Amino acid sequence: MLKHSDAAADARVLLSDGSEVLLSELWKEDNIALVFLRHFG
Amino acid sequence: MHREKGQFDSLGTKVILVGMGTPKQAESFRSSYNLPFKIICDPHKSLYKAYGLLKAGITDIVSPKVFISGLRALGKGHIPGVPVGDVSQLSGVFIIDKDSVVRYAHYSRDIADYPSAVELLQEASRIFTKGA
Repeated sequence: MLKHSDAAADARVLLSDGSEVLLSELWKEDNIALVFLRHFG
Repeated sequence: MHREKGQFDSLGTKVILVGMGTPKQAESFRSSYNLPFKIICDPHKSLYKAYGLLKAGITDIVSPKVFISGLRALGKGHIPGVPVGDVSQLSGVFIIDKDSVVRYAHYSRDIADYPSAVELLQEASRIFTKGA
C-alpha cells in the first residue's frame, strides 16, 4: 500500500480514447487526483 | 465530482478516473454522466494491483452502513449502473504531485468508504496552497 510521501507507481496505461500513455506523463504538468472507481456506472 | 472541476483546476490538479472496463464502456460512462475527465481503462486491474487497492469481503458489500450509504446516494439521484469487472474490487484515491510523490492516499475499506469531492478539494487545497 502506498502512503504519504511514497513515490507514485508508474505504468503504461490505456485511455478511453484508445491511446496509451505513461501515467507519469499525466502528472508531469499538473498534480493529479487519481480516482479508482469500483465500476463504471 | 464534475461539478467541482473548476475548483480542482484552480488548484492545478487534474482529476483522472480509473475503471476496470474497456474504452467503449468508459466512453459510455463519460457520456452518461457528462464527465470532463480523462478516464484510464484497466480491464486487467494492473493499475489497481500496482496501487495495492483492497478487495471487499461479503460484509464490506452487504452491511447496514453500505445499505444506508446506498439510500443516501439514491436520495441524491444517483442510480447505480450495472457493475463492470470485479464487484469485490474496492476503490481508492491518490493525490500525486508533479514530482511523482503521493501526497494523499485513501484506500476504501468497504464499498461505502470513499471521500467526497469536497473532502478531496479540501485535501488538495491544504496540500497545494499551503506547501504542506
